[in-house]
Amino acid sequence: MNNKTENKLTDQQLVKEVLRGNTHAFGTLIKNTEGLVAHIVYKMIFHPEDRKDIAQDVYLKAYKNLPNFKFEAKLSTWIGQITYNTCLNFLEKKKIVLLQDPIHNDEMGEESLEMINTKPLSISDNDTEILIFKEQLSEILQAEIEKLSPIYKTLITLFHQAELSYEEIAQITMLPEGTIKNYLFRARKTLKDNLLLKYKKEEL
Amino acid sequence: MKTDHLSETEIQQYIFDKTNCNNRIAEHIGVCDNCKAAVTTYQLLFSEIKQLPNPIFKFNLSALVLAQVPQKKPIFSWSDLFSYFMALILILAIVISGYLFRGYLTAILPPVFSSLLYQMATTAITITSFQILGIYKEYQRQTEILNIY
Repeated sequence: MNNKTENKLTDQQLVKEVLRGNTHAFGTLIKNTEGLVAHIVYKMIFHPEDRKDIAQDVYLKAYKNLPNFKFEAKLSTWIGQITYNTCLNFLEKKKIVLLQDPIHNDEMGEESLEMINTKPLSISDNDTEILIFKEQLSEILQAEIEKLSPIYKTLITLFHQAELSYEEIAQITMLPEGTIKNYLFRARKTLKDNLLLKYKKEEL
Repeated sequence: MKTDHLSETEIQQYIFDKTNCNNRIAEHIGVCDNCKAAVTTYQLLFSEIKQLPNPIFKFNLSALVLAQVPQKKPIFSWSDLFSYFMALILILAIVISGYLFRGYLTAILPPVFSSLLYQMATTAITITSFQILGIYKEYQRQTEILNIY
């Protein structure tokens, strides 16, 4: 089966086939949307076993509710919405804090932050050093994103990595666009500050 | 002094909405190393996030889910049957009326037009046949993609 031709099927065609009882069409639907599901699940859920259960749960819910899908949003956005809500319910049951205004994980105060802000993360002219720097930065960045609260890191990932629009993120999270912009602003600032602190600390 | 510099909101606005950004902000960034450094850091940060590897499930999600999905028999569609029935009636109506009124059609048109009419009809039928064949092939391709058979 060719992926290119598979993707040519529209959401409507896929949904129609699934509703007619064609489970293979549902397999295609899963393959088309699991990237977005993975983005959300990996950011909101920590344990691999829980991720596996939730991902399955998402698609079983989608299958059950597919007759009610009215194409008011893209199919992937609708699946994303189910994923986000399933993850939220899971975290709430586990009493995990969903949204926490970050505290800098360092004893350095605002003044120190102000000082380090004057110097950007600089890339060397040397090729090897560039590679090492990029590799380190990528690792540090991933670690710092993981330290953010589940909602912040999900928003950062959806906007900056999956490159979804504010509107799509609003549909997935069912939050107003203004709230999303506000959360993203805070998440970016925290990420930048923490990254600078970490980088400077390692540089010393 | 802290107040001399742009706020975080202004810096992020400069990065994400440069076209609607106040001139003062752009001018300030042009001359202030501190704020320029903040912009550079943000830009590097965002380009790095974009390049992070996308998460991939380490298991076959599709197989796991499909194993739990109840196998339904294909639902009989009354609307599809109605469409096919209407299409059949339409085709029959055209063919039968063409056959029944062929005498009138040839009578109202001069002999030259009559042969022209036959030529046009032949061309139209040929084109339509190819179109129907094309649609059928596309339908077969799509059903094959979905592994119906």
